[in-house]
Amino acid sequence: MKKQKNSITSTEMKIFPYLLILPNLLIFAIFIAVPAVFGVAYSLTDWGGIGEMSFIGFANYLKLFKDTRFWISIRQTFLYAFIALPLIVAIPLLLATLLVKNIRFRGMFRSIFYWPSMISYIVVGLLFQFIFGDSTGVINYLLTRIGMQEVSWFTDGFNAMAVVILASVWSRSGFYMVTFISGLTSIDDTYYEAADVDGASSFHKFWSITLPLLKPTMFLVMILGFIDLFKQYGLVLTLTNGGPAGATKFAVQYIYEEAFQRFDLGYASALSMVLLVILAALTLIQFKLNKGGAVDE
Amino acid sequence: MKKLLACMLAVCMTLTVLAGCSSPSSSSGAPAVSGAGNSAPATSGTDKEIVMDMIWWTDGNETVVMQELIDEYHELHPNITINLQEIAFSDLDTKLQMAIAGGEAPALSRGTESTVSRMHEAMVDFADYTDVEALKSEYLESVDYLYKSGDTVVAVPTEVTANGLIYNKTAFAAANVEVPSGPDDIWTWDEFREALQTVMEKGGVKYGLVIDNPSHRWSTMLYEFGGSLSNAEGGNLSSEESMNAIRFTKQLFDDKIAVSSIWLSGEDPNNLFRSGQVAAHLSGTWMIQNYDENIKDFEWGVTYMPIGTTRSSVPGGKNITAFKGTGCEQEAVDFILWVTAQEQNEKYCKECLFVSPRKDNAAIEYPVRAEEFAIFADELANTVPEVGVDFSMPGYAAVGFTDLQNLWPEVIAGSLSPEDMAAQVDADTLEFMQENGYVK
Amino acid sequence: MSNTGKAEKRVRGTSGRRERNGLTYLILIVFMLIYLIPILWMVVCSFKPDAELFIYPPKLFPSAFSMENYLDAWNRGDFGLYFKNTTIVAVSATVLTVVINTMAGYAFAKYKFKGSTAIFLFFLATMMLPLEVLMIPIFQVIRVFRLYNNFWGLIIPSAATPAGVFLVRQYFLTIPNELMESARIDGASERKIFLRLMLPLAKPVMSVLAIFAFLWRWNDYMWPLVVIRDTQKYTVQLALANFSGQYAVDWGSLLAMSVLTMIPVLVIFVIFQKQFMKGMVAGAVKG
Repeated sequence: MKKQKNSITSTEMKIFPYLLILPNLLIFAIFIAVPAVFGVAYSLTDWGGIGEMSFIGFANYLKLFKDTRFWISIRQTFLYAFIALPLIVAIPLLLATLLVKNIRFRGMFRSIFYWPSMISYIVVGLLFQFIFGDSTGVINYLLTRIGMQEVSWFTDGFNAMAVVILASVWSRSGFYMVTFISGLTSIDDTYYEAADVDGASSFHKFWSITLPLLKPTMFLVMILGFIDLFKQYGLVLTLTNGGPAGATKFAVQYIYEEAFQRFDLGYASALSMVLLVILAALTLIQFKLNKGGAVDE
Repeated sequence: MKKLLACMLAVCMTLTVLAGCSSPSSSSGAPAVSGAGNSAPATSGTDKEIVMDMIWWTDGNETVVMQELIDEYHELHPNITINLQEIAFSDLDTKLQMAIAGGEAPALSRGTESTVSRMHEAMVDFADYTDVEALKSEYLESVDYLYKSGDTVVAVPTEVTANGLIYNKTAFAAANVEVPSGPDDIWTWDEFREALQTVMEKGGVKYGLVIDNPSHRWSTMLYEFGGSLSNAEGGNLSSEESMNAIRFTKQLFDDKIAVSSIWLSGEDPNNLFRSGQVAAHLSGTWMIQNYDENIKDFEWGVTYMPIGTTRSSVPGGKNITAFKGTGCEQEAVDFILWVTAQEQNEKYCKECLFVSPRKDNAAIEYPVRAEEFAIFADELANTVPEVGVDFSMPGYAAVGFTDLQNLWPEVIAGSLSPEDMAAQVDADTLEFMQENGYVK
Repeated sequence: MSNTGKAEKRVRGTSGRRERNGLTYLILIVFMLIYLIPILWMVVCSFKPDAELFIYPPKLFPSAFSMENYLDAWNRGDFGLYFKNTTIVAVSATVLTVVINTMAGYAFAKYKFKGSTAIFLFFLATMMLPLEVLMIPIFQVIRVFRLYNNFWGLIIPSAATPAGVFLVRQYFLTIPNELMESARIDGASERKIFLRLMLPLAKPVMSVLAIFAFLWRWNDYMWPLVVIRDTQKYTVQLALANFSGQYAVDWGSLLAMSVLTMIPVLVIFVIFQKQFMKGMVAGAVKG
């Protein structure tokens, strides 16, 4: 009797998870994977988006190895992602830690920090131009008023990168803050009560309770944040247009320009595949290192 | 392995082609409201209900004026409905590409010379539907590339733009600098440069000149110095004349007369000129309406572009085109011919403050800024033929002008020498011309 | 003994809290200013007449607050209709997203099945391609499934979000497996365990997902660009993009409509934010 029941459960256990993931799987397969296969096919052609396409083998892939501008854009993307990622983790985490406390105006604070995530990139670009713009920006205006030198925010590669990072953190951290808040609220209060009894300092509690138990969320934010940053495009387009002289031109913008300014969709598809491989490899490494992001036992 | 890839590719291509030729009736999802843009195939002459889509974008009030014209047309032909589908200009190519490759080409679309250059293969040949010789005779020769691909008429122009010089009248007056009084007394580039420096010193402005963008607008200077992008043998940017233009421009930036942030980081030139901090703006006719509405703090005007070895403007403009395979090509062409006819075009250009490409609309009386239009018209009349040569090679815009767009910033930033830029553009130009049979 | 301990703790707790809260408020207020200033500026600018937007030196406040931008923009397109369209799409897609992503995230966290890691990585990989480059084949697929120019074409393909699945998966990883084990021993079916036992526990993460899904769909630009043809079916984001022409952007209208566009997202946030606070209280009671 008991045995029979177990076997039913195990068949159910085998099928049930597949049923659960089926709707997502179907959608991804149909609307992303199928077009991606087309993308692989395009990458072997010289197609421009309209008109004839002819098969050119791996010529696009050979070409991209020699395309220094593409590899520079990849380098800039790495630079950007690796500087911005810690900020996009640390600042939201700090805000979230403060905002799970039982303090006044908590809802208001949360809403304000979440607010920038709602603003479309074209407007974010305009707002930061208002503030930092070399010739029309408020900061430079104020600097001249107090008799200081204007700063070339957008015409100096280093500064432009800094402004782009600042704008990214500003516009994305609300999202990750909410993610962290949800992770923090799922931590059982009893852990803290026990630590309180032991008289642990709040830093110690954060270090030895919060961080380890927050590992799944941390892992989530790291991976999502990294992919998100690595694919940055819309914001840069309206903020610096990749300038000055390519200092903030990231991979996706480069690919997009190949596709829709030079009308070389085949080549752009090949570049996309390279981007996919880079991101997938990095994600896989993180996945292995973190054992899938589960809580350490 | 290779075989497998080849097979896969074949399947993909077949799918694409099939989609491109599929009958319009299989289009659009269940709850489509007014039917697809390419509804039932039209049998000409009957009063069958026809719904056509027209892809459109706007910089000012064009949508309103065009909608009025469409309504008028609908009254004349009650069986024909035209829906304006407004999009962002930056999405125009993407949207058309998707629709055409997906077999959902719109019946009509607004376009530019680069749309013709890029999409001509998908556009109808007007010769199949109307007398193109008569059509061609109605338009200015200098705007050929706005509607022709090679010798084929694939669109009809609606308005022309001319590149030219807009200046801050208040600042020039404050600095006591006179602008040229007429076409006989215009600045040389060196004189212009001095004028700008004086205005920067005494006119209360921070900057001398903003140049809209490094390709199309800058090319005005290239042609004025006697240079060009291409010649019969291939690229021409390394020629002495072209290099003079490049060096002169670079010097303007190095001396901080021209604003580099526009080219380096995409700062909006219009907003900068509107802020009143700039003496002059190398832009074009399209800004007249915008500045007329938005500048209240200072006076502005249009003056003659300085002269190099010659005078020149660079014409541009917009057209309306129809696409193949929509099932209502004839109706689309009929509408285009009506809306671009003398009377309709006059209304359109007058109310939107555009220069008309029609010979018989050369003397439109504009409600505002008539003086400025006269100057632009004079610039346009002095365009050198090299402009037409560079612009009329279908598909070339995506090569030469994209190169300039990408490489000029590096030259300004100092990471690329002017000579290397010229050499690189010339190499790409030559490659393009060889691939397309312009040179052997 | 335990009583005094508790009392002691409470005293220490409160005094400690007061101290820490001073610093907490300080940090929060500094960040709030940084986050808020650009937004406030945006709102103020949306009330400036076009001619004053780019004057130099910049002025904080307009000479007179004007509704010009709002009225112009509202009259230029049928914004009432666009808001309605976007609401229909965003609400339906959000519901669908929450349902299917919660299912999938739960499966990945709580079952070991063949290919689970591979499938999960495949899900994540869908985030790594620049979809813009694939717009043409996506368009073809949309058309084959008769979703072109159809709201379902906006709702279905975008409802499956890798980030959403990932979010739910990570949440369920923190819930101990013992709960499921004991339910199984009691003879509960897998379906019942999911629906009766686990779903109620997932309320906080589901409200977070709802907040995100609504934001994603509300601000989505690529899918509407691919799927929608008729102006009558435009979403707000498509309509906003129309303010950018070839040579000039109608900044006044763009700012004004952007301000209006944020309101629904903010409302959704405030509503669901309370939900996940409730989840927290329930958790505390349980603890």
